[in-house]
Amino acid sequence: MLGLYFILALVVAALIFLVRKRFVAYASLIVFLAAQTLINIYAFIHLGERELEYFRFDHAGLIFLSILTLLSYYTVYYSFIYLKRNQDNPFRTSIYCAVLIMLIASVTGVYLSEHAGLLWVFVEATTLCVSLLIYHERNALSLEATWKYVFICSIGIALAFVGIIFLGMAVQTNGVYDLSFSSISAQAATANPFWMKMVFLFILVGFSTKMGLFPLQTIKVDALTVAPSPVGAFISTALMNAGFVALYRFYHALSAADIVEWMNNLLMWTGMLSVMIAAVYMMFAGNLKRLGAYSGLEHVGLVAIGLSAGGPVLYAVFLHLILHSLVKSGLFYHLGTVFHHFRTYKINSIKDYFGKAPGAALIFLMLLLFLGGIPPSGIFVSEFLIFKGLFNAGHIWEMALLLVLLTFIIFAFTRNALNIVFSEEKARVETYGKIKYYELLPIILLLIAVVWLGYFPPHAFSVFLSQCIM
Amino acid sequence: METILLTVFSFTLLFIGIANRLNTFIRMLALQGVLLFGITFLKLNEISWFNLTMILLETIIFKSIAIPWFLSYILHKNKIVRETEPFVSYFWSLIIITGFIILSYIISGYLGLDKNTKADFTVAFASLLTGIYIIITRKKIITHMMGYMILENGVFLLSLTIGAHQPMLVNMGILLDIFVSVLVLGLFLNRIGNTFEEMSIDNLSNLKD
Repeated sequence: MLGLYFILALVVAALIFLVRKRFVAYASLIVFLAAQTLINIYAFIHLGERELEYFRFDHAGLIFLSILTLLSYYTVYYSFIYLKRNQDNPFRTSIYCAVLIMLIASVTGVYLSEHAGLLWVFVEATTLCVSLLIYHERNALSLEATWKYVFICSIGIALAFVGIIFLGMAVQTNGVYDLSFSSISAQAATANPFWMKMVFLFILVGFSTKMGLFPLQTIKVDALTVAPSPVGAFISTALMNAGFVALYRFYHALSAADIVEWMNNLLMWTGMLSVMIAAVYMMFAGNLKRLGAYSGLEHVGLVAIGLSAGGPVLYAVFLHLILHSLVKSGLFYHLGTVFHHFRTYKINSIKDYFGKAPGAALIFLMLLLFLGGIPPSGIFVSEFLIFKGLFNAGHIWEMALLLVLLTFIIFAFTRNALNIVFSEEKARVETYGKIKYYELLPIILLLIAVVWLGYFPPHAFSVFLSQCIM
Repeated sequence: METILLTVFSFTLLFIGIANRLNTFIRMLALQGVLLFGITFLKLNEISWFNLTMILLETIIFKSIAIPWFLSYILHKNKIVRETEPFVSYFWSLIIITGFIILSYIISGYLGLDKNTKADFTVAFASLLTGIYIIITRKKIITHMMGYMILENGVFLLSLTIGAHQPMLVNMGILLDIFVSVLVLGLFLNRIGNTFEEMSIDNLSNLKD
């Protein structure tokens, strides 16, 4: 079934690319969405089983797969709006749709892979897809971002590959040549710890390109600045989750070795540096999309810190990633609307949003406050749980530093939000068209879901989530 | 024999550190391809014919002919001859790359490798570091690309060390190589050459706050 799914994705993408008619592209996207939904249901039915030898439907993969399926519906919906507005030629439209399908399929591959090599191949595939998508608008700025993205991502995945080679060398001394995660996990305890440290270091640096974590975070920010907003929503959430899943699989497999302490320290300080950089840059951000991107850096930093605290905090980490995916994608979808209304992303050029479009402005304000983790946002709960975990693990000083940094971030967020929504316009700010209700309704649903999952999680959801971390 | 090839390979790294004409860079890259071919041939003669052919095609056709040809085509098209002043002087580059080789040797000591693998590992890891170093310290986009190729040669050499038992990893390395070269060289270097007049990273600093 999974094989069929990947073949279908390839065939549909090829069809779109060959026929190059807008109608075919749209119809194929909808067919693919149906397939994505089916594979998600299929995965739930076959929970815990292996497929095609190298794939496995486990809890952690599945929860992110479900988020991915939800987000693909949203992304396709907003892509339709985006493409209709832009009126690109059919060639660009068909490339956009074909590549979007390939991207969704490869992210699915990342979530479900049970083999280190295969996971790496899928991560490599996402690089290709994302670079084509951020090049969509084809101006000098998007060329610059695409070049940086492709080049630094290539270095990143080459480094991750070096990590995998090291892993191969390390387990080879035991006479094992299998690189599936279960086998690595079984071998890790007896392997040379120095090898294992090298493996984790290279993997962390390599996949930080996908996660948007500290050492190679800049390209993600640049990519998000120029990407079409539906794509931006997708890469700041589903792709970030893919990076996290990749890192988490290795972390989990290597934690059988005697280097957990070392890995945790590394994660703690890369996370802390990420939050620090995010805090500094958010104070001075002048572009709405970059503001969103730096907020992603902050959240991924929190996730890394939570992962380093280990144990029950992992529950909070997974919850945080899920809620962040919902809010952050909502923000980026809405930024598309904002851009269409004001024709700019510059924070200083957008004034009196509330006076011009009260409903949309309220949603925008809600999105930013929710991202900052201010109640009733569900993110407040997950951040609270992460802090609680840090406190219990005895990281008092780190927690204090983190709280100070988060204060700066919330300040930057609310200042910009209030500036855009309520400040009076000194010179006249032009607006274009009316904001339609169908652009706003889906985002309201996302916000309701965030409150619901944060404060009143259904029992089945909590149970499933706690099974992820075992 | 293999040790000689590896030694020559590390000399190419040092030579790249002080090269300032870009043609020299390209020749060194081609030479590295040939050296990799030699190393592969000596090392992996017991693996299946299919994999061996794949590797040989990759090293000779791809690394020694196709990429150098394409790079010099770009040089001619854009009339670039030499690298402008790098951020670090050539003398220090030489010292630093030597330092990389020593560092790699020290690291390989911690890993409990046997004697043959140790030499491989040292050269491969030094090549990886040199590639990253070249990318960081040079200003032209095309030199960055060449730095990446050096890094990639290092990765390939590294994958050879376990290639006898895990040919899949070597094939994945080849996949990475071809993927990146086609994507980066073919698609974007062409475009960037057309869009920005001088191919320097100074043109690529519009994305900021």
